[in-house]
Amino acid sequence: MTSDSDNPNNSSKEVRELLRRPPSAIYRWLGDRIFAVVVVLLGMSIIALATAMAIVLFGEGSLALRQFGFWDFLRGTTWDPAVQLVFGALPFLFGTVVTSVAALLISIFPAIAVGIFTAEYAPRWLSAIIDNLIQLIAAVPSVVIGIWGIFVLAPWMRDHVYLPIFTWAETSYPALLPILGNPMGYGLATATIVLSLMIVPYTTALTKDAIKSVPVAQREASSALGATKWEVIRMAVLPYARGGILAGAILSLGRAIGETMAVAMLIGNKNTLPFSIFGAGATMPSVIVNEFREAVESLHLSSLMAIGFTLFIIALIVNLIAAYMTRKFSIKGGQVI
Amino acid sequence: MMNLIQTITSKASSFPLFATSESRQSGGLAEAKTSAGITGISGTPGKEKAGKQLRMETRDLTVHYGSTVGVKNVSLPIYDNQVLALIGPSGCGKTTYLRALNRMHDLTRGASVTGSVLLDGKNIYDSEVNPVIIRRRIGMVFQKPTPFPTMSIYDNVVAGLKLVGIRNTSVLDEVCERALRQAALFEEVKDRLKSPGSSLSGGQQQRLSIARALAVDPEVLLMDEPTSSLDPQSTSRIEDLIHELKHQVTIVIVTHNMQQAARVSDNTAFFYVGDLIEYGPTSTLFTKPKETRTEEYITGQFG
Repeated sequence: MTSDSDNPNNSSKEVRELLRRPPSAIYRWLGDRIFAVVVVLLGMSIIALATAMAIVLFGEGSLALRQFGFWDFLRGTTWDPAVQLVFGALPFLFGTVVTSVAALLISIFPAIAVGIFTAEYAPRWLSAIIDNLIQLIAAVPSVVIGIWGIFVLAPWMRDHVYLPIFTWAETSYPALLPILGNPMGYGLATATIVLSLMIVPYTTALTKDAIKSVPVAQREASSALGATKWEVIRMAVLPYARGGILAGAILSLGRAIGETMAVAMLIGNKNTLPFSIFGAGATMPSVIVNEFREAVESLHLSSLMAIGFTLFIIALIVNLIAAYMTRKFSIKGGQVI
Repeated sequence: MMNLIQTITSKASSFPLFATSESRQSGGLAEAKTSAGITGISGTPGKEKAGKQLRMETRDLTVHYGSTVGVKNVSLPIYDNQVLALIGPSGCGKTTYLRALNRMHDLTRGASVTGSVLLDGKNIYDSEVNPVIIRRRIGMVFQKPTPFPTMSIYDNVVAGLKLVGIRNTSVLDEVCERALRQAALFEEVKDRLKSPGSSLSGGQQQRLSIARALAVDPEVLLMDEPTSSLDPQSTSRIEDLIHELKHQVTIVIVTHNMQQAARVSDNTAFFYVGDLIEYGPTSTLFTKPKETRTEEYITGQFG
């Protein structure tokens, strides 16, 4: 205001005129509307896409689902595309659940620990390096991790872990042998270990974000009560961050369920139960990627599609659980005033 | 109102905010004025208590944040069972000073403290002193209420006790009730000790924070603008509480609100841009400030 009266030159008058001028009718009428339409369309297209995927998967899988019935398809233990043409998904359901849950259990505490370390303990430069390395793990294509698993991890595990345990069990507890299975290096155990590595970034990143978002006031309040650094983390930070940590864990589980290439390369691919710890197995994604090229029988292809549909449903359920848990365990507002 | 103050020569009688506190204590404006006038010699703080004892003291306390100075060379006495108010405009260093008193700056990256803070004659910044123990002896209440949101009212209050491993429920129950009574919250929450601390109103949450700080039986209580996020009613409850509490603990309170400083404190320190400008008994500082900047600030000419 003062500059206007002090300095009544033309440009400031012009600016003022522009500021006071009402927008043109067409802009007023169209501007907001165009934007709203674009946003709504793009938003709806995601819903349409997801629905279309579900419909296609269900449609293509319906031949198998009708033949065996949905529950019997899931419960069926025989997967025989060659002779009997009977398809049951239980081995793959079992393989998926076991590998992904085990991978989550193996990785969750180290991953949370890394999140706590980078957020609370590491100096900034070190925490930046660790962050980048962890993002790198997430960015490496899973086929590359699979190759590494085939040529490095699996032989190493076979020679230094599986074989020693197997020979020990052979002499001491022969009853364990069927549970342990063939220690060839390619099987459930190796796939699980690789999976647990691959999902660490997700848990870690969300843990770190959740910890970073804990208000300073909460930390200071517990420090002021005479809490040590660890006690501050236990008393103020982790309870406050639990929603985010849980979300990270469930997101990781979802990743583990869906991971295809690395698992298919390392799990040994065996279609019949029972699976053993070291022995070969299969998961839902691994059987799809292994068999879809040779699925000449339409019932076989349809069964693979039905597995895809089941995976879709599982992913949906996991995401719903994640959303619910996150909401339930998040701290709303923190300080209610 | 503030313009009026400048025109009247005697600042003592014209400072209307001051009257509220003194009338509560000594029954009238006139009396307050005379008592302030008689004992108001700067440098001899604490007007009523005769045998007042030094509880804490800072000597040449300087706090740096990186290369910027938070407060410089502040030497102040803190007397037992008295309330010291720290006032001054935003960014003057009063909160920085307060946080140096229980080593909260240890937790801030880049903050460094020089000079000494004596608690019962011992420097709390000595290398062999454990800051965790210091913070149990010198409690703190923050600007915003900070109940731990996942804990019940009860667990919030006894959180500090559980930290030291006290698990005996009868001890915890007793301390919880004692602390809640001290914080004048017990009657309001006694039937719902198990409900979450965050379910309380803002004023109750702040009294819960005070109860939590009192539960560990501190000798000194630091309050960093404890009422700045509260409504007037809750504010006056907390001010009443400060009057009660000072018989048990020594209180240092940072406040933006000069009326509050006048109402609750025995001594007041005025900070400006990191310097301690003036310190004295509250009545003297508000009625006969020696420094022009103090006068300008308390009469509302800046800040």
